[in-house]
Amino acid sequence: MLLIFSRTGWRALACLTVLFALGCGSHTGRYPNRTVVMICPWAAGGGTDRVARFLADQLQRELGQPVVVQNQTGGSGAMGHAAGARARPDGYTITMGTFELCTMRAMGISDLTYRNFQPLAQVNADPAAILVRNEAPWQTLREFIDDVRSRPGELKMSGTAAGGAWDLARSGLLLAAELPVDAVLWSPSQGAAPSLVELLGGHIDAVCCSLPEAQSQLEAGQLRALCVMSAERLPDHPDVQTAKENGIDWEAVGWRGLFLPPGTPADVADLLSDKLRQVVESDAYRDFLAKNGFGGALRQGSEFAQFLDEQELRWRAVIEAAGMSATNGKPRVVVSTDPGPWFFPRVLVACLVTGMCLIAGANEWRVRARARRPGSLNEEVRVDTARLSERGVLDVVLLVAGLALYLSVIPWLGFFAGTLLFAVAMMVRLGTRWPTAIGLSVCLLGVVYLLFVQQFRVVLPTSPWWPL
Amino acid sequence: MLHELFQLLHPTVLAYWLAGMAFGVFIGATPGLTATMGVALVVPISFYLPPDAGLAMILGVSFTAIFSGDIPATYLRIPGTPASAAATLDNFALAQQGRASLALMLDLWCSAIGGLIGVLLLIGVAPQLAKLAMRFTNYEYFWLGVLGLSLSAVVCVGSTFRGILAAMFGMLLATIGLDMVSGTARFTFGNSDLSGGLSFIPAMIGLFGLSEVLRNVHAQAALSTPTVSAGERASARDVASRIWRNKGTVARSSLLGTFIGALPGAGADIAAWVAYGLAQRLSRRKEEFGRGCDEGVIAPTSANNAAVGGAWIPALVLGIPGDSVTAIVLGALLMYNIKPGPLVFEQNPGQMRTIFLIALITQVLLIPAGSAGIRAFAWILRLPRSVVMTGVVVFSVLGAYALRNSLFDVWLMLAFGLLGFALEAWRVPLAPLILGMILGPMVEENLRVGLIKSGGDWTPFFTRPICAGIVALFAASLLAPAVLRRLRRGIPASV
Repeated sequence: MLLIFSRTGWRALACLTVLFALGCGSHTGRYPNRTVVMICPWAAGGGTDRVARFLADQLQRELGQPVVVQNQTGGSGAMGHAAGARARPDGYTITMGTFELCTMRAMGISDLTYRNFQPLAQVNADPAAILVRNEAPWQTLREFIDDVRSRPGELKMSGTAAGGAWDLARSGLLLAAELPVDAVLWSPSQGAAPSLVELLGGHIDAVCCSLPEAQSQLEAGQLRALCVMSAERLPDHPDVQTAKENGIDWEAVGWRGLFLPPGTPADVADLLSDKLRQVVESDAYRDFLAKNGFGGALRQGSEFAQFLDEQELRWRAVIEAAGMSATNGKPRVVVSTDPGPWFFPRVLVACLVTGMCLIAGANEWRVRARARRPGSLNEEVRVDTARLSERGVLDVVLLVAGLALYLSVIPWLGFFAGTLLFAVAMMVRLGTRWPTAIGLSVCLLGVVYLLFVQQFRVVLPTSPWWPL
Repeated sequence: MLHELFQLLHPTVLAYWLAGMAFGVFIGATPGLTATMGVALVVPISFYLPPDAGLAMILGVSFTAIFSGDIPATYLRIPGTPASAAATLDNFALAQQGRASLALMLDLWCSAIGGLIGVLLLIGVAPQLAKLAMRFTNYEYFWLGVLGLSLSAVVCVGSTFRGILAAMFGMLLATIGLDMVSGTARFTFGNSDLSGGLSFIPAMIGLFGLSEVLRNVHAQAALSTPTVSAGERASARDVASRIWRNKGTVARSSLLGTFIGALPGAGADIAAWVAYGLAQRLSRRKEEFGRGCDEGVIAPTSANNAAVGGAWIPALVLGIPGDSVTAIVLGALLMYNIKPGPLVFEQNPGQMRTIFLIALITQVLLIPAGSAGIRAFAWILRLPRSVVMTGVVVFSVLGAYALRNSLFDVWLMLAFGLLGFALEAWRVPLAPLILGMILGPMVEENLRVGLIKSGGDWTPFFTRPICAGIVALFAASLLAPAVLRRLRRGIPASV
């Protein structure tokens, strides 16, 4: 430990301090002066991700700084939205918010609402649609609803997980047609793509999702859209009727927009608003929407806030009427034929407990049997645990504790400073000499920086005090 | 076809192609960084390149990363990608015997052959295979999951009973999060991070990678000496003769791998394990599995490379991703104006031919690229163990973080590292736990959604033709060892 006071140690420390001081200088200055992060709460390759990446690319040109998309998935969008809401309000974290933001709270998935953010702009709107196979017997939505009315509970639909956007959309449609929500059997799926496979394979009767998600199948003529849940017919699909034309006054739109954390300074928010407006109204964006079959929309400021409010109220009504609202601990939508969400965990826990008892019992029996054999009283009786040496255990505990400490300080020291300290400490503890350890760690972090940060724009955690 | 080939041989395209393959080898071979992440990183760059170069780069990364995940699995017992977890068994055992070079050369050639078979099936029978894949629905996926789980009971070296318990524990861990079927939160304790469930890749990095580091540290082996001693180099003739002797296994594993990869609900990792388990069931030398048996190396590696090709079948023909890598690539294809789906062969015939050519040639280029990767990795391993272990930890932290940009995932990795260390101390095998985490949701969700669809009726699970087929396969795999033993007793002993 006295080595830290050696010359090499001091020199290294001095170099690092100078580097950080230089780096600090560029941290202040006009916005934006470093990478902006756009959080996308959905997986890479999906619709929201594609919109986010395109917008990020265009914004980058406008702002003159890299804009990078981070996919933070999980919890039906809750994780990404939560991360966006608690980010530092300095304008360097934008969140791509989606429809789920208005339903999360009512469904009990999260406490977030749009009021936990500073809304920037809505950029896209895709109305829900009902899709059927080309050879299906229904030509209009009216025929389909009449069929549902005549044989409730027989027809099967899918499109997303239980309680997801499209499940709510079709629930609203049924309620508006004065049918109970379970008039159609909803078969949950992991997103629209698997449900389209089911539809094509003939295992279900209809799918509720947005039109861009089924674009290739629609163009190939394998699937047909019965209706679209928008106010007017869509310009890209002029022959698809609206629900209103079929006598059901119902609209359901999946939308996407950009949000900032609350408390972002007004000048930053205004700058971003302007740039965003320019991007969304540009030809490049319109082309992108057309190519992917997305629907465009632009609402900013109070218009956007009003839209969000109205959406929240409308969906809360549907969620409550459909019996999907959160009550403490009770499963939300359990179809009677579903063994329920706790069936599997109970079976597994029961088997595990039984199994562990059996192992413990067998162990005891073996120990007793060995003890009963003559001349074996001095034998080592711990037959099941590999021997753990004391010094080894100490090292393992140190490593784990060190890692835990390292992970805790990353939000404060940033990834590079924290990793440097940890790597040097670990190498030294395992027997490398100080100078070598520091040198190799700096090399390693250099590779990581050049490859991941520069080339691939992976945004690693940074400290609030210096840019690395 | 010749025109597209000529275009591909342009220096710019070749440069990016090889760069992509080099990057794929690096990403796959670094424990902590996965093929999915590699493709996700490369796709945005590929948009700025001419389309052929961009496609070549993406395909290069995805096929090489799947192979090179086997390299650290062989030397360090740490899989570089989830699909390489099966390589930690026989490959590592061979490396312990000083025959790492044999294991890796066998691995490399079988990866290339498996990949080639997968791509040839993609080119030849993609529409037909896609049609067959569409007949799979919840009932069939349920049985596939059960089949996979039953095979996991055999892949553990050591106590089968503890293996089954480990698989069940894995299944239990996988129930944490938001239930897809009912929307209920299970075991989340109000924590929004847990509501996303336990992300599988950080769990695997921790379970295999970090726990192996902890084991190394605990073992107190001379930590300043090189990590791995250079073993004997394997001769090409030896490798070729071993492959020829096991040609049945190669063919069977590749076909199985392609088909499982073609199922939208299953990917390369499941393919590798099912192939391994099946090979063990049908082998004459099943006791050698896990101790350095050739078939134990060949089966998973040909299956997982074949599955990468197979995953393109639903992606191209149906527009539906076969695994996480193709999910990202599909988005990229749209930017190239290629609309995957039923009309893709009519609308973009030239680009389809280009993709097929790239996929084929990449398999061939895999041999030199893979050999270079093996050599580079062996060179790095000459560094002291302390340095290598630190590098593994740093990249594990980076990899666990970079997937979802979440520190929670890194904590998860740490927790799983401790879990893996403790489990190995209690002699519980780790592989079934991972299989339980992958297959548990598959089994549970499909059972419940299947019951919802059939209205509580159990008969479709047994009477549907494909289901009946899989159940028969399942029963056969349980009885196969006994039956084969009886049959072989009747045949005079051969070499």
